[in-house]
Amino acid sequence: MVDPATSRRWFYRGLFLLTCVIVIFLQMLPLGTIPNRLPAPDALFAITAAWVMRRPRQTPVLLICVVFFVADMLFLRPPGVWTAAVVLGTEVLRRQVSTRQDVTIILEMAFFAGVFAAMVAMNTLVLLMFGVDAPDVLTSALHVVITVAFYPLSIGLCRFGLGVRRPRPGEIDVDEAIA
Amino acid sequence: MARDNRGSEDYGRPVRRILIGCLVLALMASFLVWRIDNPRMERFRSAVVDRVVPNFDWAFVPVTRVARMFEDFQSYTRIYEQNQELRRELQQMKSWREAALQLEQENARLLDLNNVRQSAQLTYVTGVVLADNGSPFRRSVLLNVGARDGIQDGWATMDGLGLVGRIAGVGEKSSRVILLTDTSSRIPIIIQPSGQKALLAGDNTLAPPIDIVESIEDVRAGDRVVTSGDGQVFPADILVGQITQGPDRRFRVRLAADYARLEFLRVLRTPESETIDSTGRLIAADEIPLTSVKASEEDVDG
Repeated sequence: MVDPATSRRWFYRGLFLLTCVIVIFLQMLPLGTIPNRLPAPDALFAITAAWVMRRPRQTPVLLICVVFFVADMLFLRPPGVWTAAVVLGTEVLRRQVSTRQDVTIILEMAFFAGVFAAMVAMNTLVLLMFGVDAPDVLTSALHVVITVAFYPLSIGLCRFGLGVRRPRPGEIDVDEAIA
Repeated sequence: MARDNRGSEDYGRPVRRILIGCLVLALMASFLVWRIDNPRMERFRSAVVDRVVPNFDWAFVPVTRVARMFEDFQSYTRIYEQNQELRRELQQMKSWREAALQLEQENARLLDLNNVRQSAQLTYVTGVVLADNGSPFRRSVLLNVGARDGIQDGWATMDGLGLVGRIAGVGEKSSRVILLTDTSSRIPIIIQPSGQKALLAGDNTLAPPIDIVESIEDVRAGDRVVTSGDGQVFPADILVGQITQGPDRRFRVRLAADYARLEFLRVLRTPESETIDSTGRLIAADEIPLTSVKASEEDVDG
């Protein structure tokens, strides 16, 4: 029989994958064929970030890597650059927040904003360095602002919709410490 | 037990860092491969899209339909203004219809006089729009027709009225259309009636600006824009839209195709269109006579 903590973690990994597939699917619906002034938020990364900061073990880096690489392919982005940024960004989020227990939502948003802005900057810099068209600075800045504004929604989705919340102190040994 | 785990975690950290480093390096390597050997990687991309997207075919269409029904329902709230607007437009259309009928008769008479037979080379394949790309910075849609229906890269795509984009990326069961609004879209056009040749350069807005016009002073707002057959990239004389002038005094093209409702698109079969199958080879390179190229190569050798 499989250890219940392990099977629970695998269940949540499956749930994470399913959520990502649904988000990608919704973004690909052919409804937004008119170019907008405002770029849409990066919902996929916002949800991933909220999840990583709650249950880092449920979102292994390889899974994130595969999801974002497929998204790169489907969304017509240069393959690999944004995925690399996401891998580095989630590593930073994992290291910083998983050690703290009581983080206010404002602090978490500020932290998310910093990491996301750094990732967008890295993405743009790499693209420019290799002579690929990158979106202009104003649009990118708007994209960051909108995604940060969207972030509380993704926390709400994780916490209330999917039941992914921060572990309580007593819970840690059961779920988090098993490597 | 807890200490044991903590210990293994500390031990695991440097290894983990190295693994993350390797992962990032591998991702950057895939980007480099894409940058260096773009056509091959894009073929890989369309193969991935071809495997993934048609599986969701059953879900895309009904969900889109339902979402559009909601949008339509919202528009009922301003039905009165719309009705007025439509009446006005209908009135205008009637006068245009009259003009068109007269022109058609005249055209038929003239063609008859000249014994002209129009070529039936342009046939089309109609596809359903499955998905757009979810990225906020690119503009493209995915059709449910692909190589199995004979679609080839570079063919023009239009809705009932005007040009929509160009096929870029063909899979077995799906193909991607880069819309005119995408930032990488460049289409050779002719502005009527002055006959100016120009490029239509997408910039992620609904009204793309025109570029490289010979003499800009001959261009007026309201001029008709059609594709030019230059470089045999596109069939000639497909309606693109009308010239407008934005607040920044720049000439833009208001597209004739209805970008809010891209549902069914026509892909025009173009028998002899140029293909770009390798990097670093320009379309114009073929126009240089072979003999002169050979001669210059011999010069280099000698």
